[in-house]
Amino acid sequence: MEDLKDFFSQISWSEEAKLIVWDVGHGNWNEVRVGNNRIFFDIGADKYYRLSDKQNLIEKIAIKEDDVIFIIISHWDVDHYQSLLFFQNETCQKIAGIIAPEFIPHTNTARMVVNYIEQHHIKFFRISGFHKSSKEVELNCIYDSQYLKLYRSRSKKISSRNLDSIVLFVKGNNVDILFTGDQQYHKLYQYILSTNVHDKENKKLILIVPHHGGNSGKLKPDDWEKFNYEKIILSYSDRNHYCHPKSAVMDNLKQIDKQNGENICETNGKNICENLKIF
Amino acid sequence: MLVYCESKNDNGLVIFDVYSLDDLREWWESRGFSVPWNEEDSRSLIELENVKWVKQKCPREGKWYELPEEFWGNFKYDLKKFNFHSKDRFLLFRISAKYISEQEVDFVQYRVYKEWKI
Repeated sequence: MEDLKDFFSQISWSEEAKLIVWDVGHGNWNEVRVGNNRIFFDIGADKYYRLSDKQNLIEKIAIKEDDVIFIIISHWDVDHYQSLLFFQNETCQKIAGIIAPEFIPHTNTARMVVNYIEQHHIKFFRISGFHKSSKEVELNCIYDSQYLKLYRSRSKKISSRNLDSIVLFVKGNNVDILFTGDQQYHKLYQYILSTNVHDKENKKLILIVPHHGGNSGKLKPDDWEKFNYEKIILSYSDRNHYCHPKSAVMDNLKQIDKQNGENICETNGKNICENLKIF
Repeated sequence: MLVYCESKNDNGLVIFDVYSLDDLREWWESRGFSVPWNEEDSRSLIELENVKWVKQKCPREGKWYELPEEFWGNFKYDLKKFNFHSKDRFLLFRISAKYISEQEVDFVQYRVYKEWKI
C-alpha cells in the first residue's frame, strides 16, 4: 500500500535498535526504538489501571522532544489500545500516524479513542479485513520492506475479535521479532513462520507470545520447535482474572525452547528491555 | 441496555462496555441510585461478579447483548469501588455489581446480532 510505504519511509533505520516490552499490567505495549523513532506495537494497559499507574507509565515511557511516534494497534481490545488516552496534547503532535484494523466496535471507550485521534488530526490508517473470496481467516502481507513486514488477517467474515488483527514482523540482521497481538499460533505459523520470511538456519527469533499466554489457537510444538529463540516474551500480570498464562501454553513454550524454557521471560511487574543489534 | 462484552472468565466475572454514555446515564437514572449521575465522568466499563450462566450460554467476548431490566435487578451494586472522586480512581471502570440470584442466565437469548461499529 502506497500510503503505508510513505508512512514508514519516515523512519531512519541506520542506527541500532532497542526492543522494549513495557510492563503495563495485564495488557500490551511493545516498542522498537531506532534513534528517536519509536514504533509502538499496541498501546494498551491493564483494564484495572488507576490514575497512579497511568502517571508511572507515562514517566517510564518518557516521550522526548524530538521523538517521532509510529503506532500499530493489533486489535480493538482495551488492553491493547487504552493508553493512547494517556497522551497529552504535546505528545499527540509527535505521532506520525496510527495503523489499526478498520472494524472498531462502537463502545463508549473505543469512541473516546477515535474522538481523540480525530480531534488531534492524527493520521489514521484503518486496514480492512474483508476478503471477498476467502472463507478461512488468512494473514495477508500488506506492507513489506527491508526491516518490516505487516500482516492483516482477512476473510469474508471474521467472527472473533482477536482474529481480526494486524501482526508485525521485524527483520534484523541476526534476529527477527514477531509481534502477535492476540492472533492464533497456527495462523502465525501457517502464514508467516512457515514461509521463507524467517531464515531459521541463520537467525534467532524473538516471539512476543500472543494473548498474555492464554489460549490462542493450536500451538503445535512440532512446528514451533524448528526455531532458535533468542527470547520468548510474555506480557501479563499475575493479578489477572483469567489464569494467564495457562499452564498448558507454558508447557508448550518450554518444549519449543531449546534451552528448556530459559529463554522465556515475563513482564509481570518489570519492563523487558533488550539492547539488540538487530539492524 | 445495549452492552458489549469486553471480557469474561470462568468464575463468573463479566466486563461490559456500553454503546454510549447517554444509554448508561438513562439506565443509571432509572435505577434510582443514591449517587447522582456525574457528567464529568466519562468512564463506562461495568464489572459484574459471580454471574451464573446456563452451560454453553455464557456471554461471548466481542459480542453485543440487549440486557433487560429483570437482568439488572439481580445484582447488588457497589458504587464506591470505582468512585470517580477517589484520589487514585480507576481509569475505565464505573460500576461494580455482584450477582445475587441463584438462577442461571441464558445470555444467548439476549444476544444482538447486529454489529455496531465506528
